This record gives sequence, structure tokens and C-alpha cells, in this order.
Amino acid sequence: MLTRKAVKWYLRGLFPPAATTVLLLLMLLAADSSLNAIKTDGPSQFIALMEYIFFPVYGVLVGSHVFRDSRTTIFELGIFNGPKTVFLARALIVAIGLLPGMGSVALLAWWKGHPEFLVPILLKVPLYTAFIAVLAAYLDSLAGTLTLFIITSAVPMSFSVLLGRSGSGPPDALMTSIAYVFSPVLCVRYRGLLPIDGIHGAALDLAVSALLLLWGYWAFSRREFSP
Amino acid sequence: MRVEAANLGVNYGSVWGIREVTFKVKAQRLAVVGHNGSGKTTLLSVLSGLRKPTEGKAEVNGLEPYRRSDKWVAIRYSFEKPQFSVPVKVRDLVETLRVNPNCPKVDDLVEALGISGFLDHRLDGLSSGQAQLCNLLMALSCDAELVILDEPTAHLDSYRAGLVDDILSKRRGLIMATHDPEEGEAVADHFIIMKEGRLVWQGGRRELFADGVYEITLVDGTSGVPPGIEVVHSFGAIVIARAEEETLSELFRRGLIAGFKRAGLRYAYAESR
Repeated sequence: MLTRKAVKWYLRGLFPPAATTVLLLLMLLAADSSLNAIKTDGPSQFIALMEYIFFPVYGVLVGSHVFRDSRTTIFELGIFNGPKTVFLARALIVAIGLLPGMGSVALLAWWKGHPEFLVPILLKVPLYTAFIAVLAAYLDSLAGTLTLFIITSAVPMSFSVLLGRSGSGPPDALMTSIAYVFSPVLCVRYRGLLPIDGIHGAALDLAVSALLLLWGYWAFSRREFSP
Repeated sequence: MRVEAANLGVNYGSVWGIREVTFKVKAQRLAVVGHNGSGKTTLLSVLSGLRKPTEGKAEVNGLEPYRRSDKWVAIRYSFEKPQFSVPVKVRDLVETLRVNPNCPKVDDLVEALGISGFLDHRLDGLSSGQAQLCNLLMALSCDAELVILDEPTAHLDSYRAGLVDDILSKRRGLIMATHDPEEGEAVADHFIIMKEGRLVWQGGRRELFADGVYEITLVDGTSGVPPGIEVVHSFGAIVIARAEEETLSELFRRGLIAGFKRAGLRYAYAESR
């Protein structure tokens, strides 16, 4: 009952109506346009727009809702009897918040005849949830938001440079694994060249997400506060 | 309630918030008094388990609070200057506390603290006093071994502050930080005075109310102190002074002073500076 109340508590204000509507609309328009361009220009435009810009911005919109200042977190830990309920509710709310954005773009890609993007885009939900869970355990609002944007935008961008290097051979298994974690959508483009296939990449993403969530809970339950 | 600190120290980089704090207290309600930056909040954050000390250790009822896995239920903490960046209504807070099996006194306190008057306000839009009341509601409506309050009435009007002090004075297992000597005396049965991160005085009510030293309220703060009174500390229209009780009674009868009482926390605090 208390967990249900906690989810309801965090649901309030999750989707600021104006910001969410504008962002979702722009994201779907950009996805539609770049998916149409795949036939002529390849998938680069779609990957760049979604993985480096719209998904990170959408992730920040959702993540910033649970990056709360120390005092608010102390207050919530008191209301919900400790870190278990607060962490669970925050993680659930992030996943619920990410689903409309990632889900609609994934479905649009599938509808437009590009089913290869469906799973990698949907994998963004557990991955972003796990990133946010770890960051929220250590950082407050502004630092958490900025770090999340760097992890979800700048890091995938650097993988586009790494994977796109011609003449240096395919990346090794470790770099490929990291690429699957930070840029699963980009990996679609290089799938034939990577030493790990898509199914194993997806399994790896799910396993890493689960481990990061456990790490996030461990860190959150041991967090110290200076009021 | 047994509270112990042994060589307790907390640093923030190169600055020590508290250092070499050692005391052993058995009391129902403990007041921690001190000027701004004296280490009150740092001490409370260790006693409430919010942070570990850099050196030494603290125990509440035989357990180190920062090592307790049940600390969020066993110890309730209310901080100074509450401000919540949460877009939920006060009504949601009340309903959430109602379903918490550890918080049976929610409805009584909602009425007693006057929270029912702003149930439809959002938490992120409350005045500092209203936010303080919500913070106190969370801390006081739940069953806990210990409640730790940092400046519980700092933002409240005198009427509400009086109501809160009345509730607190009946509670067992309370540690509070306060700047207000009257509040400390009204609520606590043991006192700790902090100065620049160190403990400078501690004692119970018996030690606090010194013999032959009085807190005198002057009729007119500008016309000076009547003869027969040796002023020790002056706080505007209130002075701490050595005097005979008969002399003060006579001055009071003649209307030369507005009142007097045995000097307590204000005197101990002033002496420790």
C-alpha cells in the first residue's frame, strides 16, 4: 500500500504538460522525417537525432523529476520508511516516464519498416532507468541532470567516432560491449562488423541494467546526508 | 533515552564541524544550544544517523545510529529551513502518512498544528512556516524511538510555536537544537551548549537554574537598571544579574521591573561564549 502511495507521489508532476507535449511532438516529427530519409541517406540521421539529441533530452526531462535535493530526499525517506520504497518508486516512475517517448519512436520505426530499431530503442528504457538510479544515489538535482545528459548524449556520440573509424579493424569485445550499453541504436548500423551480435548485445544491456539498478540501490541505502 | 558521544568529530574538508565532543546523557528530552555555526546541526546529523562521524562514535540507546538499518523508522528527523521541491499537495502528504502503519497520530496532529487549513496547497508553494509544520507532521505523527528536531519552531508564529512546544514537552525520546532559551527551558530536561564545534557546558535543570542569578525584564530598556542589581549580561530590556530575591520582589512590587525569574539557559549560554 505504501509503495503504491509512493508511486502515486512521484507520478505527480512527472509529465509537465507543455514541455512533454512539445518534446514528444518534435521527437516524433524528427523520427518520422529521418526514418523516411533512411532509404536515400542511410540511418545516420535517425541515429544522430534520436540517440544523441532527443532521447537524452527526454531522459533528462524524466530524470530531473527524481533528482531531488538532499532535504527533499531526507523528507521522502522519512515518509516512506526508508530507502527501499523510495528507490523502488523512483525507478518505477522513471521507467513509466520513459516508456511513452521511447515506445512511440520504437513503434514508429517498426511501422515505417525498420524493425531492427525496435528492440535497441526499447532497451533505452531499462538502461536510462539504471543510469538515473545510480546517479540519483550520488548526486543532487543539477549535477545529476548534467551528468545524465553527458552519459546519454556525449558518450554515445564518442562511440560513433570510435565505431566509424575505417581502416583500424573492428573494435574488440570489451569496446563493443560498452558501445551496446551506451549506444544500442548506433550498434544497429555496425552490427555486421561487431564481434557481438544483436541478441547478445540486448542480453548484455539487460544484465548491465539489472546490475546498475542493484548498485544504485546499494549506494542509495548507504548514502550520507549533510542537512 | 541514553545518548553518548565519545571524542566525536566531523570534518568538512579542512574545517571541523564538531570536534572532541564527549558526553553521556540520560534524559527524556535533550536540548542542544549554541550560536550559528557552533556545530548543532552537524551533531544532530550524526545522532540521527544521516552521516557517519569522521572520528569517535555516538550511541543512542546503546546503538550507533548511522549503522542502524532501521534508522529511518526508529529515528525521525526534521531539519531547519524546510523547503520541498515536490509538486504534490499537502493532502497527498497527509493521505500518504495515513497509510503508513508507523504513523498513527496523523489526523490528531493535522488538526492540532492547523494543517487542515492549507491541505490543498502544493508542498513546493508553501510558506516557510507551513513547510515547517509539514516537516513536523512527518516527524511527530509516526512512532519512533527518537525524534530529532533542528530548530522546530524557527519559522512559526508564537501561537503555533507554543502549541508545538507543548507537544514536545510531553514527548519521551527527543533531541532538539534551538536558539531560543525559553523554548529550550520549556521543553528539555537536559542541555548541551556548543561553541565553535566543541561542547562547552552540559547539565540538567537543577544545574541550569543558578542560585542568586536572575533574568530580569526591565520596564523600560532605556532608563537603566534599578539600584541593587549587579548586571552580568545585558540583552536589551532583559538583563542577567546577581541580586537578592527580596530586592527583586520589592522592585517588582514598586513597578521598577516588569518581572524576574531564576536565570537559566540564557545565562548558561551567555557565560559559555
